[in-house]
Amino acid sequence: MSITTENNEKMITLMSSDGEEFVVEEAVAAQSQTIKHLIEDGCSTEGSIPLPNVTGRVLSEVIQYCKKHSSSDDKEEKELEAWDAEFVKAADDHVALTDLMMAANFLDIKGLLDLVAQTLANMITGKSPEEVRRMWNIKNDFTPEEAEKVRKENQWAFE
Amino acid sequence: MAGRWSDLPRDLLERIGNCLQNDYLDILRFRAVCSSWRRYSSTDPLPPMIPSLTLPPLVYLNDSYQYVLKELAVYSVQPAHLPGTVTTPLVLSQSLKSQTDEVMILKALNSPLCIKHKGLVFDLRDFRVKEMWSDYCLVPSVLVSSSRTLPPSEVAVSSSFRNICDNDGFTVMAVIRPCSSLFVWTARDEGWTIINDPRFMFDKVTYLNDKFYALDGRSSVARPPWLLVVLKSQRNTAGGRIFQASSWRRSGVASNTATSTFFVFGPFAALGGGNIHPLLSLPRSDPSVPSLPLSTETTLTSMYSKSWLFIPPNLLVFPTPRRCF
Repeated sequence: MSITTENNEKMITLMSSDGEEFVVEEAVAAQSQTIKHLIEDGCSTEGSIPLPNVTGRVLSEVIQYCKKHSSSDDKEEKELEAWDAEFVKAADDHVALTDLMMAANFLDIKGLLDLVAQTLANMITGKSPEEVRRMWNIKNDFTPEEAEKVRKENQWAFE
Repeated sequence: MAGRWSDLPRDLLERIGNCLQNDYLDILRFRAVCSSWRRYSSTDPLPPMIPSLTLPPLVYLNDSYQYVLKELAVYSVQPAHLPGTVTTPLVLSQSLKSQTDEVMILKALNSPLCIKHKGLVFDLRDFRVKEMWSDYCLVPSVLVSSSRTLPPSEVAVSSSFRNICDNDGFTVMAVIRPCSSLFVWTARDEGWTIINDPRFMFDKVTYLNDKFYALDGRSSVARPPWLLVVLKSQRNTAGGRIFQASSWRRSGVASNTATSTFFVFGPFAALGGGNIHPLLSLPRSDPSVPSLPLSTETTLTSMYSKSWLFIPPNLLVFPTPRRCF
């Protein structure tokens, strides 16, 4: 289903994995290389574009990002940076950010992917490995040999 | 739904790891989390080289001394078992791998943690560690025979070490105790320039907001210690640089909110029973260093050599870590 608005913007409908539909301008959706290619391949002419890997909650966040980034030009770079910072802050925790990163990867939105990767990296920075494990629910699965190498890498001595 | 990291495919994990690439410590930690994270990060991270520069011989009392200027990193270190707001700054040199494959801290200066743990090995995994800013020190050149001990020194530099080639007039100013003169060297100068001002006995130096500052540490009954002297650079007729004392004050705080640097001097009541200590603080610009107005709630803590660092009221000096090695 392809509809057109008053100012002649072509609209397309995206459907999340849980069946939620989002009607967005084509220019916004085309921030995603994946969707752009689907449109080019004529997948959007009938019905909506199904996105089986993205839930409605995550997709609404992604669309929010794409809307902002398609409407801003270079002059507003500073403002856009501030907006990005607020955007990832609103994503709240590493679980939401992980979902967002997977979606950005699947939809192939480079800017969003970089933004989320950096945010996740910043969350690791300065934390002890045990804290990182707790946060991400990761099992310490080193073999005794590996554990010994890790220990050596992390030994600092005062002269 | 806690912990979705296992859902992340390898290339995304690598992407996160790549964002840490500039920080050696962060990479070490990333590799210490679990075996897959270890595999996804660079195979064997090499510690960064300690930036250093061999300075021309410095002549003092008919002796010639050879110093190397080294960049130090100041880390905030706190035991991971303590709550998140507790911190202690440490000055550590950039790490260097020794032959035994252990990472050595070349110089851990006078902080509470270092004193307690001198000669001991500490395991980075038990601490939260964050690089705060860079500092500089003069160390004796290895080219000089070790039989003669070099006098203690203090040093300040005019810009980041990394800009040394940018022809920005990178300048080093040093105090060599017990000599009360200042020694100045600007990149591409053949030798040091000595500043003697009979009015002052220089004891410390720092650099802030495009100006060098020196402290007069002389104390007498008639004259309270710690006088700040602002040194102004001028060009002499031969095109060289000369520094002249342009103004002086007894105490105060100079801060630059734009770069979050600050500088404190004068007699202040410090932590631990209201002793009067001379203060000099010279952190370099870093957004994580708060620029604070002096207040009674501001705790001051000993940091390195005779320098001091502001610790905002919400940060504390942590007690001795429970675990010893």
